Amino acid sequence: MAQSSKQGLSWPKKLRLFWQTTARSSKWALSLTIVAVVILAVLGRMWMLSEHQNDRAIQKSRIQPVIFVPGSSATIQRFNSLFTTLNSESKSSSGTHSILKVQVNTDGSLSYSGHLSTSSRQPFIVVGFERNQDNYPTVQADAQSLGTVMTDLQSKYHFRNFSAVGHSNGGLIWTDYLENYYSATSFHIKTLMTLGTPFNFSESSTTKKTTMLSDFIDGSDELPSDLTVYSVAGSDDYTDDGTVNVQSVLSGKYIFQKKVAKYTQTTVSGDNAQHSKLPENPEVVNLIRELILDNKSGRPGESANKAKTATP
Amino acid sequence: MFSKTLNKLVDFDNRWLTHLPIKTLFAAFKKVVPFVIINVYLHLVGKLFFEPSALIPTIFHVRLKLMFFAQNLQSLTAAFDYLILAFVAALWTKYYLEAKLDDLGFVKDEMLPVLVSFAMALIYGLTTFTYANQSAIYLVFVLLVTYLSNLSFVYLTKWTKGKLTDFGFAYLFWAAIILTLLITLCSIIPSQVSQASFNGFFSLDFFSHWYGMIITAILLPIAFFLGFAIPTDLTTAATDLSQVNGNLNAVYQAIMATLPYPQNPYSVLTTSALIGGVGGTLALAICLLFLKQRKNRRLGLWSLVPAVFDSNKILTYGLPLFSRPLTLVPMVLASTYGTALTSFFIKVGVLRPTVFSTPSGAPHLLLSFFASQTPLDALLITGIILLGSVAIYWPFVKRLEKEDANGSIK
Repeated sequence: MAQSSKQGLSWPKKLRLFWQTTARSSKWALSLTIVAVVILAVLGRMWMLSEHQNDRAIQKSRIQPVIFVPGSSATIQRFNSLFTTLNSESKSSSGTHSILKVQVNTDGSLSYSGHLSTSSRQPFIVVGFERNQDNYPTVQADAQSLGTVMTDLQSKYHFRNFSAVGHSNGGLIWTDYLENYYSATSFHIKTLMTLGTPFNFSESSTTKKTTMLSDFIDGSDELPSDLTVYSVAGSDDYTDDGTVNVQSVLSGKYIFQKKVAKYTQTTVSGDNAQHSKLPENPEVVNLIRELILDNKSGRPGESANKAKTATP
Repeated sequence: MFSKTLNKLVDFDNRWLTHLPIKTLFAAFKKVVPFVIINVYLHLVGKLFFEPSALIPTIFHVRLKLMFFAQNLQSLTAAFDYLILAFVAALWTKYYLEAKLDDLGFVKDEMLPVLVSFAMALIYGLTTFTYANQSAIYLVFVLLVTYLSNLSFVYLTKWTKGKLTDFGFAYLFWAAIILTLLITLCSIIPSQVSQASFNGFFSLDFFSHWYGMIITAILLPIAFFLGFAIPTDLTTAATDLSQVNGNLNAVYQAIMATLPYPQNPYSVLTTSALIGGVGGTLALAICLLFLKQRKNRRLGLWSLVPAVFDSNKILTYGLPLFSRPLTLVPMVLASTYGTALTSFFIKVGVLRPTVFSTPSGAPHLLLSFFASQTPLDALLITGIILLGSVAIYWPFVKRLEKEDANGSIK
């Protein structure tokens, strides 16, 4: 009887009856799941939209910035003289490199100055840290902040490829960043150049390894395998550059050798080979021009190869 | 016509279930369901919250700094996977030998073969252990060696007319031979056989055509029925396929570019044939909610949320789905129906294929909505697929409940 009365009903009424006779727990479970799926769908779609617009911009981006990190006790103005030299030389050829400076304040906030022109293919970016004491915990903290800065820079300027230069402890910050915070899915670092970077801090003995050097060696498997690294040491008096011991700089080989695609050590000498003046040293300028920038013309008669032979 | 075919299928299913190995295996499966539920929900938490680029933290822009906890959770759930199957192997041995030896008129302590089966499952688990997923042949291999071990125990008992002492030298020697053979077998199985990823294979041109998709959609539930794991190239690692990369590059060059591989495993199979897991089993979980028996509804309730996120493990053990003719047929039908529909709409140009990669753990139900360039059309088509799959499963599920009530599986 009930069956025959059910057969006489229209489809919508049958469905309504079916829903009414369904257990309450099933109704609740299904309804809540549908609501959760709808919320997930809306939020997920919004995320996908923003993410893939960004991805597309990154993919199409042609800029490949060179990112500079100064050492301890140095400000974001450390590389001004180097930039002036490089820009004055390149005016006639490929145009100047626009300069953007980012300061990471002690409270973690970022202060931007200068501008980054997407028309210049290899703009310069300086990332400096207000907290810049000469110790390992500071290097670690700054490396973490560098990760934040990189993400922020990418979201603003949509680049994927970049090269890096680190002066003194700046090279340590880059190394820590590459081992712990760098993601090959988001970025591609082509070249890292470290200038007078004390990989074993003030330790001159090659047998004694500081905690930092041991940590870097332990984490070296995380370094990008296609990276090219140049480690430049300054030699003022055959043993150091006035601040950093050459042996400490050369300890970088324990970290990079056989872990990255290419690792080269170079020693520069001369009047401007003191630690603080390394970024202005003509041989260093030439190395940056030849090994990092696309402009390989350089000054006639000066070549990186020549600089490489300038070891004491 | 349909009713007659269904009756024939049910008859075949009933006959299949009367076989002692199957009957006792299903009893063992059902016994471990509470463990499976805990395991599945632990997996779900890890997948949604703690995996690298997990769905919930990603879309809410939250970064969970619980790497240590996440790694521990992953190890725990991976070990749990192997433990569950070890329990199944042990319980199956117990139920099977109890019944079989009873039929033969022997009274024996089954503890030793139970322990051997448990150890065999764990040994194979340990030799192929990965955090990410179980080996492709794990289930079928473990069940096969367990069955062979059980048979050998029965034959040894029959041959010696039940005169051997339980845990005596002869039985211990049998156990040692079985375990030695298993260890030797594990060491000679090539890793290519036990791996769950076949990127090069699924990147072949065959898988860029509708016929390749349809054949795969039919074969997937059959492979699942036989106990093979579904390759990760069709689920979590689908975006690594060369067709998907080709499409992505084209889209990044020009947003509405003509895609080189509109039909590929990611755009068709992952988004339509695998909603809720192999065989579109989200529809099956929904159907269970509307059944009259409380036990079936409870199974539907527990399996609904995991099925939204494409895990049908609770159903696999609870119904069970594995090696059950009555569930295989709707699984093949639903899988083929979803694939054919998506393939057709892509072919006629109504639907832009799923191209972008999504956060880890994004449900296949929403995959095309998230990652297609025509999201609303994709959502509508997914809705049609889901409703159609529910309609496909419903008559089978009703019969399953009826047969269950009649006591086919005790």
